[in-house]
Order: sequence, then structure tokens, then C-alpha cells
Amino acid sequence: MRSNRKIHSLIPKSVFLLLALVPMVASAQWRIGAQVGASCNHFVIDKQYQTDYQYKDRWGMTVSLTGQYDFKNWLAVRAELNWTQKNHRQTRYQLSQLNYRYFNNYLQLPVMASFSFGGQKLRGFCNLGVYAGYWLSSRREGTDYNSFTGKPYIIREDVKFNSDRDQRMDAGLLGGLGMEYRIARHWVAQVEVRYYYSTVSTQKDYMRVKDPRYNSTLALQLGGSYLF
Amino acid sequence: MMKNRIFLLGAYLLLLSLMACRDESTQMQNYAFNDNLAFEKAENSYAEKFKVLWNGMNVNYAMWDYEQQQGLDWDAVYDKYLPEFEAFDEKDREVSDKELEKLMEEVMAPLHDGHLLVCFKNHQTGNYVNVSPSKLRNKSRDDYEQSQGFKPDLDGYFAFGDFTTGLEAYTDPIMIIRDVLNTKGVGRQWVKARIADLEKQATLSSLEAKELASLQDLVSELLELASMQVSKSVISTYNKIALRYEWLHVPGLTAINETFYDNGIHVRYALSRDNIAYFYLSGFSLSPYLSETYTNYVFGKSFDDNTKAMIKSVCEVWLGWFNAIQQLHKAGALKGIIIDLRSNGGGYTNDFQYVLGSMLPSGGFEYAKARFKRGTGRYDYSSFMPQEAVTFAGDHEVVDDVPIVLLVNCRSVSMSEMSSVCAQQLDNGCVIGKRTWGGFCALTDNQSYSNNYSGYVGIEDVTPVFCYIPGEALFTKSGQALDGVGVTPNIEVAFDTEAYKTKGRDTQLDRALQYIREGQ
Repeated sequence: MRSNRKIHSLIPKSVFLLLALVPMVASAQWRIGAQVGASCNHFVIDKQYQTDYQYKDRWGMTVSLTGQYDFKNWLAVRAELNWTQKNHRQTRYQLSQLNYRYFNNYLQLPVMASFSFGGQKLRGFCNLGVYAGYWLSSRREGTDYNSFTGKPYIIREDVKFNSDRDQRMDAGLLGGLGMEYRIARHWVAQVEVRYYYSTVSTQKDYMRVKDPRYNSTLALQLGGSYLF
Repeated sequence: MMKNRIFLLGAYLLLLSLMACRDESTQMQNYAFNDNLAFEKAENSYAEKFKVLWNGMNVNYAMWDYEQQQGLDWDAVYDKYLPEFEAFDEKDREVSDKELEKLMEEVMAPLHDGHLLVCFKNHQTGNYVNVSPSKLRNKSRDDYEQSQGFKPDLDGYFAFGDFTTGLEAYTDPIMIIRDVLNTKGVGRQWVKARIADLEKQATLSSLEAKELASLQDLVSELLELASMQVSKSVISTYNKIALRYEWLHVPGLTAINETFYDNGIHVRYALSRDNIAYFYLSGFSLSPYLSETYTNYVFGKSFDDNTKAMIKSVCEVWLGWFNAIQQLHKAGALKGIIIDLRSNGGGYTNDFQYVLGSMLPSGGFEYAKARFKRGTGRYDYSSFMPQEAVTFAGDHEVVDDVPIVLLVNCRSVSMSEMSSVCAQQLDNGCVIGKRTWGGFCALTDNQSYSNNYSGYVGIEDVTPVFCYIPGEALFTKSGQALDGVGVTPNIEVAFDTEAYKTKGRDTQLDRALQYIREGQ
């Protein structure tokens, strides 16, 4: 059994880089908040010669608790704890009876630098950072086809993890663009488009043939924060 | 200024990371067909043949999680055996079929699927070397030898009045040719008698002289035929002889449709004095005889009179058994049913409706759960889905009130095991005999490969590597795998060869009759 080592190399380097910004504290301000939104996931897989398989993007949900420390009015570090769905659909062009909708639930810890610009009321921001995640659970619903009986069947089941194959840990890079509006002295509202680029395959190197699979997830989220 | 530098640094780091982050997959080859590019290297290399086998199995086999639970590490198999196959490729190294077979057996022995068959063409000798892991596993079974070529013999039972009515037919070409060679009054024996008659005559007409010469040639050719190894070429040789000597009108010497080689069957129906309906079939090949769709598919839409007669003979036997059950059960006089599946290697899934399925309610019978490959990953499987057997659709008696006994042995495979699993789910079903082969998963043909992107590697006798792999994995409804294990009978009874030789008694059949008559 082999394991993917990219998780261990990427995160420490990135966190070190962000911590290096700490000495630049001039006017610091804490904020905590929450966000909710929709996620659109793209499942990356090499279909090889099985060309009529189709893996389609699917929407899901994302809910976050956020914490941010503003070093300066243009620079902050932000961390979140979020539940994000990275869903996808598996179909076949030749066999329409095969149609699986996968629901994949992840718990994520994104850490990012937030660069902001603009005025007092309305500001834009750009987030760049990394995240670590854990694959909580999976479920699949849809239809499949028994080619021996010639009958389709409705499928609704939790997907059991295969400890030999499945990589429960996730990690990657993230980038986001958004707008923030100061609605009161201590309150801001935010809207953000964020992209999670997973660099850890959902499968371990469990066989000598390499078959990595990845999630690339776009999140549209809105929320608010309380400024201390 | 500082602000801009930090911003640029962050963007730069992100860009660098993006460029080096995701692994690429290994390119996989589809080995399902006779693809020159896929098999080119394997034509003249043992190591390449092994790679085709390993990669083909890795993608197509649907029981890897089960094999892993049984302790098999397929990656370790690659690491261990590739160097050994590479050693075979060394310059001037001679590799015999036996050596190749031995190494292939070591590779395949741990696998459990009961149908799995691997064929390598030894490019040095030109011969195909075949290995079956289930054959290796079952060789040590105590009834392995006894069950080879086993055919039940009811002659003693008829002689002693156990059975009173019966019909028999066979379309197995090898059995027919053996009759032509050995049965008194037909074929070779008739020819010898006719030669003797002609030789007794003092003078022969020119036609009789010609007949005598031809008969003598025919005897020689039939003798040569008798020494040939059993294969499809025996039938074509026989047919050439039958055609060449057709003008002699030798009884029984009739050409046989070569389609019967793959679709021949031996069936026997017998009714006991107390209304136990017995049915024996050598293989589940009834569909080409009983279903017009299958007849057209297998034999074509038009065929010769002899083929027609052979098809009809099988139908008559099956109808004799089926009608007896309908009449007796309706009258409340049916005592029980015996279906003899000993040494029955399986066949068409559609046949179920004509055998056990002809006693079950219409609409299908769910007996197992099935799973299919759903991707190139070793563990990419579908959800489990019900596996149903087709039951008889026409008007028929549902027999749920008298015992139905299935007789099985070590060489009862595939459909025989499927039928056994079904019988054990019935309140009135009972399986008697010895544990079956362990080949429960079902197969399909190469044309259906892309239904599930699984089933075969290569084409038999064409590509340098051929693997016969089931297109689905089947488990019992409780999740048990039967492949490599077999169905355990409800009542285990060995076939006593000594009792059979000395008294003509079939101990397994006797136990089935006892069970039906006494209920235990």
C-alpha cells in the first residue's frame, strides 16, 4: 500500500510563508463570521479507452465559519472551517440507464492571505492560500443497469470507503475574488467567488498502475463578519 | 511598494505550485479485441505476454476486493513473476510448454473465479498453453477423477423397475460418432458385416466389387477417425467421410451439423413407478432446441433434415418430462422431481426457465446479487444489483408442494451452481451429492464486452494471450462468494464407484429417491 506524500510537503511551506507576514502588524483587527453558498465541482479522471463514460460537474453546498486577522487595512490572514460538497455525476453515452449522482462531503480548513483594496464602505479583495481537508462521507443515487437481466435498477446507498484505495485526506491551493460592503460600524457583508484546486488525488497509489483523480471546486458564497 | 511586492510574491508562488501539482495517469490499453498494436510485443515475448495478462486482469476482473481479503496482492505478483518471464526471454533460452504452464500456474493459482482461463501461445513451439486456477484448486477433490465425463446410467433402474417410462436423446457429435464406430448394426459394425457378406460370395458383379473396395476403404478411414483426439476437426473429418461414402447408404453414417460441437446436448427423462420425474441434461444448452429465437441464432433459419430431426429429438425428451410434471401435479399424483446436474458444466442462462424455472412462478426468480466493473480502477464497481433468473412464462404448474432434488458433484459448474443456489432458497428444494466446482459468476461473449468494459482479454486461438474472465461478479444474497468454494449440498453423498460397477446402483440417485420417498 502506497500513500500520497504531497499533503505533507505543501502545507508546512505555505503556512510558514503566511506566518512570515506576522511581524508586519501595525493596526490589527479581528473579525469572525459565517458564509454559505453553492459549490460546483469538476471531477478530474482519466477515462482511458472507456470513452463513452462521462463525468459531469455537479452543484453542492458550502457552509463556513470564518476568522480573520487584519494586519493592515489591505492585508489580512484568514482561516475557515467549512463543510463543502464536491459532487459529480457519472453517466454513459451508450448506456443511458447508467446515471450515478455522487454526493461527497468534505470538511476543510482553508488558510489564506487576503489582499483588499478600495474605499471605506465598498472594498474588493483577493484571497490566496491553501487548504487541508478530510473526506467525511460519500453517497450515490441514481440508476444502473444489469446487462445480464436487461433491467435497470434504482440505486440509493452510502458509499463504503475502501481503505486500500481511498485517500480521505485532501489538500490544495485556493484563490478567490470578492467584494465587501461595510453595512455598520462592526458589520461587513461579503460575496466571494472562490476556486479550490486539489493537489491530492482522491485515490492513494494503491496499485502499480497510476490512476489519480482530483476535485476542482468553484464556490460561490456570501456571508458576513463581525468586526471587533 | 511593499504591498505590491507581497502581492506579486503570492501570485508567483501560486503559479509555480499550479504547474507541478497533479500526477499523470499511466496509459492503459484495451485488450478486449484482436488489436495488432496491443498484442504486437506479446507475439514474441513471454514478459510481454505476462504484462498483457496482468494489466488485462487488473482492469477487467470484478473480484479484486474478495481476492485481497483472501490474501492476494496482485501488485506483488507482478514484482515477483515479471523477472521470471523475462528470464524466459533470454537469448537462446528454450522454453517448453510444460515450463511455461508451470510458471503460469504459479501466477494464477491464488485466483478464485471458477471460470477463469488463461491461454498463452508459446511462440517457440506454436502451441497454446492453458491454465485454469479452479482446475488446479479442484484437482485434489476426492470426486474430481470420478466426475470426469460422468454420465448417469439408468439402465439398471429400468431393468429392476425403479423407472418405468423414459426417453433419451443426444446431439453431442462425439457421442454420435462413437455410436457410428461401435454400435452393432450401424456404422462401422454394419460395414464390417457387409464386407464379410460380400467376401463370402463366389463372384461379385462390377458394382458389388466396387462396393466392396469402397467399404474396405471406409473401414480404414473410420479406424483412423477412432484414433483422432477429440476436437472440432474430428467432426469435419467425419463429415467428409460421410459425404464421400454417402452412396453406400451405411446406416447411421450421416453428416452432422458442426454447430452441434458447441451446442450438443445429452438429455434423459425417466418416470419412476411412484411418479418421481427425473431429468438429466449434460449441459445447459436447451435454448437452441426449445426457443425459436435461439434456434435461428445458433443454427440459422434453415437447416438440413438431419439437424431438424436431432433438434426434434431433444425437444421430445424435454416435453416428455415437462408434460409429465404438468399432468401429475394437476392430478395431485406427483411424488417428486429429480434434476440431475452432475458433471454439467453450465451454459445458457436462458435455460433456467426450462429446468428448475419451469416449476417456479412466472416473472423471474431473484437468487443472488450482481456487481459489474464501472471504470478502469481495480475497485471501480457498480452497486450491487439483484440477479434474477428467467422463469417459465407460459401456463404451467408451480411445484411448491413436493420435493425438488438437484443432484450435483465436483464438476457441476456455473448454471448448475446457479440452479443449486436457487433450489436451496426453495422450501421444497434440496441439493444432494458433492460440493460443486465454484464457478458462480456469469460470462458473456466478446461482442458484449463494452456493456461493462469487462469480460475478455484477446480472442481465443487468435491473440497470443487470451483470458476468459466473467463479465460480472456474483455473490449470494447474503453476500457470500461461491467462486473457488462451490455450493455445499444439503445432503452430502459420494458416488460409490464399486457399488455402481458391481450392482449397477447410483448411490447419489438412490439417496435422492430415498429423500423424496421418506422425507429425510
